[in-house]
Parts: sequence; structure tokens; C-alpha cells
Amino acid sequence: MAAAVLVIYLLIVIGIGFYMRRRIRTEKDYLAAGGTLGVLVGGATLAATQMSAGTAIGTVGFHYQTGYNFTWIWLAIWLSWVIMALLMGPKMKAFYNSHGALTIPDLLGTRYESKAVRVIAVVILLFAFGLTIVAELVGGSYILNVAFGVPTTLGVLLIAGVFIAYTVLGGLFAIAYTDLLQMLVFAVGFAIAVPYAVGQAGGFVALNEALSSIEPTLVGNGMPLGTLLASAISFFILLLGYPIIAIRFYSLKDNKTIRRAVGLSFVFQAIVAISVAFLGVSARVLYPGLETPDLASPTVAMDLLPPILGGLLLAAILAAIQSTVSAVLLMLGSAISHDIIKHVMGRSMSERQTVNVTRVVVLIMGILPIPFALFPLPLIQQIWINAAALIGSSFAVVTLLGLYWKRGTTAGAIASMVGGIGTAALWLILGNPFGVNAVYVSVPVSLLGMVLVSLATRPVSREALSPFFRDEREAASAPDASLEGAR
Amino acid sequence: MSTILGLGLSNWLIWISMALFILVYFVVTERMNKREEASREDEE
Repeated sequence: MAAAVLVIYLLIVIGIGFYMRRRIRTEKDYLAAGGTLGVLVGGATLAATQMSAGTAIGTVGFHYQTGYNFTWIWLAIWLSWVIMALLMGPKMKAFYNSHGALTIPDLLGTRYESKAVRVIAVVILLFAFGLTIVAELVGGSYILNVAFGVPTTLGVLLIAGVFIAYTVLGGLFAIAYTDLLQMLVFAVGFAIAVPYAVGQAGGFVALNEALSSIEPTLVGNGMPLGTLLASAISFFILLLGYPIIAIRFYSLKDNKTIRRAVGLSFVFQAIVAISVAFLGVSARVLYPGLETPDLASPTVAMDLLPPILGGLLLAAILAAIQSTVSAVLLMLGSAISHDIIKHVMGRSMSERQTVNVTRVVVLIMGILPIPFALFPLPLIQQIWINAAALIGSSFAVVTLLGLYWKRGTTAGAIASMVGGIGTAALWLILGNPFGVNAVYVSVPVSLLGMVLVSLATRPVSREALSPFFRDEREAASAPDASLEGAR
Repeated sequence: MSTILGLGLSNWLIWISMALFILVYFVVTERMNKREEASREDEE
């Protein structure tokens, strides 16, 4: 029965891809849903993009190990989102409206007036986010293997086949509407499973008493406050300007919709945050001897819940995985087709050709990570954390300063991105020396590189600034003052 | 450690903070939306 629920869910998701195919006429439709998404779908797709295997498996595992207080992390994540929604969203939407921008390299390449900046951004996205696709595929196949004994290869192919199919067919329209379904499945799946699991543990009070008897800190500060604060600051920094979230602002209708959709996504995220916490601590009481905390979610789904609920919970976990990988896949596909083929190589194509080329690129980008996912990879959550460190170290400074500091130059942006990712990679390879997280070193390097090199080099032109700064736009469109005076 | 229904107070504070965060966010952003609409109407 659980397998049937899962199969029905996967078929519906593919069906949405086929249906949404009809709405794709232009590149804007394919990559940004025509910039028409409203609050409900926008909020759902934002929240679903944030959820991943890390949330459904890793975070539940964290709560299994440390109790409730890891939930504080969400507030750090949201604080980053608020900065993105209020400071970046309006400028990105204005850029979309004026220049038809569709990607983050679009923004950086235009703002810093440089093809090199665009290409560097694409390369970093491909490498860092490519890793995350592999991690998600491994996570998904692990779940199918634990739950149904599906061999890893078949599991990877099944999961990849579904998300590649609906992404190739329906682009962002398909992703956004499947995200809405996936968010509902995720929220409903967890929200129904949690009361059941807590009930099985004897109810809320009995659950807490049992946790306290296992380890008193599980109902207090299970994760030490220092560790928690360090993680929260890392998440906050990493998510500033996080490309996979920021790129969604292009697809929302207007500024009001961006603000409301982000608010709605907080509501979705809160439901998930509280649900995964309860699921993790319930599993700790009901299954205290699990081999690894990552087994908490699938064990609850298959062993504790009635088959239909178990299937729903597994569908929710797969939903979290697919919503993330489909968003990553479309972003990587657009980086190749839109940024490299169209802008860097200067290929001129009709709208239909552009959509078809993007579809082919998305298909290829979806297939490429599959072989890597067939080998067993340890620590899925660690891959995400490392990839996020590389991404945050290269994009946070150039994106935010690019939108608010006119003096940022091409050379400054290159120094910031290369210095940031280089430092992060080196720090990770060295195994986080002195126990210091990579972002605490790489982001300051990225910031220093940006500021010092920018101040030492020539500013970009007014044309490059005008899409992002209203006064530059007005100055560029106003009649030349000197000519007026001469007359 | 003080608890309510067996759960430490600091953990109750997480959920209260989350609810307050969302509430304050909506209050502030709805004001921004209204101000933006008003200034757009003025321009028109």
C-alpha cells in the first residue's frame, strides 16, 4: 500500500510536467514561468526549494540525536531570506522587467559589465550545485532501498527519471506547480505522521518524560549553545544571495507578491520545522537503538505508521528531494543555455529554438550526475554543507554589494568570487583548521577582495549600473545637462 | 531546568519566536506594500 501511494504521487508529478508543457512558449515561460507566479504557488515553490533530503532525513536525524533545540536554526535561515526578499527581490524584479533577466550570472555579468564574471559564476554553479544533485539522488535512493529494498541503481534511475521528465517538459511552470503539490504532500505527510508518532510515544508529556529519562538535555539544550550559534551564523551567511532561492524572485509577479510569497513560505517552513523536530524526537523514544540517525524518517514511515500514512511520509521525503533537484537542474540548464550559449557565445536563436536547446541542455545536465550517484557516498548532509560553503563564499558578497555599492568593479567581483571559493575549498580540504567553519574565513576574504580590488580599479559604466540603481537610470535617461547649458 | 509539560522553557521560546517572527514580518511587509501602492498612485 505504501508503495502504491508513492507510485501514484510520482505519476501525478509527471502528469503535471506534461500538462504544463502547453504553457511554454518562450524562454521566459520556461525559465521564469513568464514572471507570473502568485503568492500561493510562489510561497510553495520558495519553501519547497529550501526543503531537501537534508531536511527530510538529515534534520530529522539531528533532532533524533540532540532533541528539539536545533529548530533555532530556522530563524537564522529566515533572517537571511528577509534580507533577500526586501533588499534583493525588488531590484531583481526590476532587472527582470527592464532587461528580461533570467539567471544569477545574468545579474552579475550585467552589473559587473563582464563576460568573465558571467562565466565564473556559471562554472561555480555547475560545480557546487552539481554536487548537490548527486547528494540528493543518493539520499533518495537510500530511502527507497531502506523502505522497499529497491536496488540503489534502480532507485537513482527512478528518482532521476521523474524529476528530469517534468523539468524538461514543463520548465519552471512544472517545477512551481509540482512544488505546490510537493509542499502540500510534505506538510500534510509530516503533519499527519507527527501526531500519530507522538501518540505512539504516549502523548506529548510522556514523550518528553521519556526523552528526559534517556538524556535530560534532549528536552533542554541538546545541541550545545556554542555549536548551535556557530551553525546558525553559518546558515545565515551562506543563504545571503543563495542563487537557487534568489532566482525565484524573477518568476514572481511583482514586489508585493515577492514579500507575501516569502511570508507564506515561512508558514510552510514553520510547519515542516516543527514536524521534523517532533518526528526526530519521537523516533528517539520509539527506536532508541537506530544504527544511524538518518534512519529515523524511513523507520517511522515503514515500521510505525499505517501503510497509507507511511507511503505519504515517504512521498513527502521524495517530494523534498525532487523539488530541490528540479530547481537546481533548471538553474544549471539555464546557466549553460542562456548564459553560455546565448550571451557568451552570442548565438542568435528564435524563442522556439531557445526553449528546445534549453530542454536538451536540461536533459543532459540531469543525466550527467547519475553515474556519480551510483557509487555509495557517505554523509549526504556533509556534501550539502560543503557545497553551500562554496556557493555562499562566492555569491553572497558579489550579489549584495553589487546591488547596493556602485563602486564594486569587474576586477573586484572576480577577486571576490575566486578568492571566496578558493579559500572555502582550501579550508574544507584542510579539514576546517582550528575547528573554524570555512565560511568564517572565506566570506571575509571574499568581502576584502571585493572592497580592496574595487577601490583600486576603474568603476563600471553608468549603463551597467542603471538597471540596479534608480538614480543612475534617471541620470542616464535625462537630457545631457551640459548640452542643455550649451544651447 | 524549568519545564512546561515536560519540555524545557527554552524550547517553548523557539516556537514563540517563530510565530512572532512571521507575525512581525507580515505586519512590516504589508505596510511596505501599502506605502508602495500609495506612492505609485501619487506618481500616476
